[in-house]
Amino acid sequence: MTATADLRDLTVAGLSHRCAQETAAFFQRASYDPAFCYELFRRALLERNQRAYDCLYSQYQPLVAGWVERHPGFPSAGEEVQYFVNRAFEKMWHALTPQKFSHFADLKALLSYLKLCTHSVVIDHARARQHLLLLDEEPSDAVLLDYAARGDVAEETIEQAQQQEFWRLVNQRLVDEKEQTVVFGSFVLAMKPAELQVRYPHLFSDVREVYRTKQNVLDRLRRDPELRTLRADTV
Amino acid sequence: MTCTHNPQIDDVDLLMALDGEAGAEVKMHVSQCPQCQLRAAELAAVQRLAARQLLRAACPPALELGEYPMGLLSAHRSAAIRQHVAACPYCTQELAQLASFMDSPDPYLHPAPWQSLQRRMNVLVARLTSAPQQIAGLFGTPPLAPALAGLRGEADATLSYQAGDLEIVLEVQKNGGRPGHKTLAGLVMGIDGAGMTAHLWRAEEPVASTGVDTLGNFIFHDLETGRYELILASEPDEVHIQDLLI
Ligand SMILES: [Zn+2]
Ligand SMILES: [Zn+2]
Repeated sequence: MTATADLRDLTVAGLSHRCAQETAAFFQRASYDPAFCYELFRRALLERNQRAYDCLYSQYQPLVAGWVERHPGFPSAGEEVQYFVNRAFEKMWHALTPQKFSHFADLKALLSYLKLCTHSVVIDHARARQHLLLLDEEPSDAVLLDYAARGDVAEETIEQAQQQEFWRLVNQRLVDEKEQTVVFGSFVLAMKPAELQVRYPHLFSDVREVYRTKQNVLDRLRRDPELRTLRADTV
Repeated sequence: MTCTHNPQIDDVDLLMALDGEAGAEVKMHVSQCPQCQLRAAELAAVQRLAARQLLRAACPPALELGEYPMGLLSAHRSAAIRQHVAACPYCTQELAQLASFMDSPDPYLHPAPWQSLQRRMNVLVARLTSAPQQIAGLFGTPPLAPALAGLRGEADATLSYQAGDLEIVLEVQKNGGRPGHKTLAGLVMGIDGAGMTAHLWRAEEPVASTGVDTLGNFIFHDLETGRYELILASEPDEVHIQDLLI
């Protein structure tokens, strides 16, 4: 036979067939051709072809499941493997936009990104648990269910955006380096005043000075009409 | 409500008392003064609200943090994240975890040298040519011979395709056994069929596979009607017959 067809002339089914064969060849340690799997990614992510996306999911679902199982954050996550697998594919679909696709020159780069998406969904989950732990709140079933239901990437982004906006508003109201250090250290990083004093001795001569700064800022912030959520009566 | 006990203590003392950092005198005062206990509870609530809203509020989302070492961010975002990570132990730890996760043994991303051997597949899309008049060799007999039609099933359609040097003839037949189902019989000419496999796909799912015999014949039974793709594979060559109506 002569002259190979342009990959773009192949159907999604034709590409899926070749991608599966090539992946099998790869694992049988035979030589392989990554072009077909790459083209399937290109159709799914650049052309937003849902059928190609479904085929990618079928092809790489076992791979992603293996990544989830081997992630150090998985054993303590208290979620099924499949939950993270689905989130990882959704994440890639949302994050790897057509504009970004040109950064991915080969199959290895795309699979690396899928692995990063897998990591990031496990981390999102770990962050939610860390939140509860550092705030000393019992991870009640209701709260955990709420986090679990938050698989929707868009909703997650809104929540993060709200937090970042609040941080921006608070930051604007801080008058000097001492206050910035105390608020960032105490609330953003959950550090104790004693730790802050040890870390920033040039700003605070003793631990009481850290507390005094904290008290000043809290007093100002809770009076601020724009930061109503900080008033104790909203508890 | 103001504290009336002496010596009076202030909010700074109460914040310290909440963290267990207050002196004995303050501790004693708080334990005996309902007004100060109330005030301390208020301060604790405000701190809790601030922590709930601000904990890791300056941290980039996990995905963006991971895109940073991959070099996928703008110079501006990279600089902001570098600065943040320097101050944030949580993100520092997450980046370390990411690095070890990405570097963990992975045949896909870190293939052994013998797995990096690449080859080129020759994939051809077959072109539909005219229906043949008579093809000698299909099951060893002329396909349209009326005498054999009953044995093989009645032909609905005969299609002929060309792909490079290969000629492929397909016959869609009524199924003898199951009403509404069809049989697809095929003949590949121009190649020794041995080692060739015929794969049938429908709606992006594999349906069936079968071997092609040395004479180039293959057959699929009991097919539902619909649009299929037939793939004839003998690596490193492959022919795809798209849009096959059965
Ligand atoms: Zn008192
Ligand atoms: Zn951070």
